[in-house]
Amino acid sequence: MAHEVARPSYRSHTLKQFFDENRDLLTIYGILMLILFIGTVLSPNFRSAANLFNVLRQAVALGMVSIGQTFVILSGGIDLSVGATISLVAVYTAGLMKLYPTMTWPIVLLMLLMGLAIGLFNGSLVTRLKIAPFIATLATGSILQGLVLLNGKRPSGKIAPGWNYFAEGMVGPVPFPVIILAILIVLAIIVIHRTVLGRNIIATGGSELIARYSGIRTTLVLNSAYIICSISAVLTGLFITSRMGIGDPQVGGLSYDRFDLDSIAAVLIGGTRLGGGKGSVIGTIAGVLIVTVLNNVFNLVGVDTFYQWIVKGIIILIAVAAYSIRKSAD
Amino acid sequence: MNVRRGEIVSLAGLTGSGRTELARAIFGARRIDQGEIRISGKPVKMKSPRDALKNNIGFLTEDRNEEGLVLGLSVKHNAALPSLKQRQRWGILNLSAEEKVVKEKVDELSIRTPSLGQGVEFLSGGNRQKVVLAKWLITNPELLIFDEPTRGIDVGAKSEIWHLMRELSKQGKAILMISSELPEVIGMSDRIVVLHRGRIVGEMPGAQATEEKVMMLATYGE
Repeated sequence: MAHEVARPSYRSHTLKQFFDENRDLLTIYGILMLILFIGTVLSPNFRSAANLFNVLRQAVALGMVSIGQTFVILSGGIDLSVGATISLVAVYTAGLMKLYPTMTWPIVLLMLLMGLAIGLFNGSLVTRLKIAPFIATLATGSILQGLVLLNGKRPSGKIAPGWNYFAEGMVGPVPFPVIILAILIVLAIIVIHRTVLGRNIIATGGSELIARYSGIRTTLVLNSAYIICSISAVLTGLFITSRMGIGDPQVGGLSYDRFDLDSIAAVLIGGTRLGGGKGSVIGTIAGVLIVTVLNNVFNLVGVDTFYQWIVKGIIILIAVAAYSIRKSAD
Repeated sequence: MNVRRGEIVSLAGLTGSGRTELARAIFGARRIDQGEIRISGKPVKMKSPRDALKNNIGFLTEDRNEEGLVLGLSVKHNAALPSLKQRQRWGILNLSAEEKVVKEKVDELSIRTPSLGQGVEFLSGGNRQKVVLAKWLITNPELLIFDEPTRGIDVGAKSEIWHLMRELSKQGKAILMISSELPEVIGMSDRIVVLHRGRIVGEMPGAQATEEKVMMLATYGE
């Protein structure tokens, strides 16, 4: 227990205090810089403008879903159904847009509503049936991926004319999707740090019991987190479909590949605590860039996908271990 | 049993006599088997702590670490937690109002912390208890339930907590205290209610109570 010392109650924010309080964030951005540097040395192609734009687009895809994943992990849960959700959205968006090329916005709205339903389903499994989030969302993901593959194993459908703007549009020199991601990041930061919902999500992740004793409707809070996550997965699905022009039933990946594990890796590398109660979107974005750049460098250098899985698994373990060792040292 | 404005009532009894269960039931954290709760004569249903909060009841739990403060969150965020609704518009928090109201309570209760952003896990037991008190006081409660308010707190901080409880009762708050320490029960209470095996077996004014009398009632129920 800390020793009580008489000292002035409120120090003003000094530079040192800023560094102390943001040590984790500064470290993680430092590591990102290092990886960028190594990438540049290893592969001359890495720093080409075309490749950097490619990295940015991939970062948008992973970024949107990882922002949602941050909310769920902050609330003390985890969402392993985002990959299947992304595949589902890809197949249905392309399929429906091929059938009804003029109905772009109703189709987008329908997908968002589907995200709401999936999030509510996950949230209900966790809050009503008291199923551990890991198992609940793994099962949801399995159901969704099964539904997708029943519909056909090959990429199908075709996006409506103009829908490619979401992925390929430019606003001046800036890709349109990057602007969308920036807006989402700002929104997420506001929700987490400045709203009742954000505080309630963090408190519920910190201790569901204390949150309930503080008059917080934890069921509502947890459902909101899962809904935010599923809707962010829908956005990633819409973005990918826009980029590919077709609906690939396996684009979201299976649970050990792509978006499930990648989004969780990004969130954990970004310093959000597994089990909830602490974390940030700024950290997640660093995590997203690290995961994306690593994937990109591996592909450029020609490392086999399976090695990439091994490396990614190890990185997740190191990230979680580093934070938990730091925590017990405090 | 009743608690009046400006009064400190103690629940005395042996461990397992149902003191904490009674307190939890009043706070809506436990199902009520029988009986009812009335506030100013009106029956109220406490289905959850949320209902208790709406009826201006605060509960300082026995276990501060597992049930009182979210470790990992700052003094400010912990203290602000049950009263977020008071300082929001369309769900957006007024952070400067939050800073102001928490700082006020930190000064008023003389909580020793280097900053409002300090994680509560770095505070001493006494200061943690005061943060729990601050968090409830900001909700403007009429009834405060203290479960073992000074357990695990050093002597200096103990008398500070006692002093604060007296101050609060002078301000007109009703206080219900649960304590296993008889000197604390006798020294603090206007009235003492004794529980034995889940039933109220006696009641006496604090001024007339002795440790023997309370012990006899608590042990034998008569």
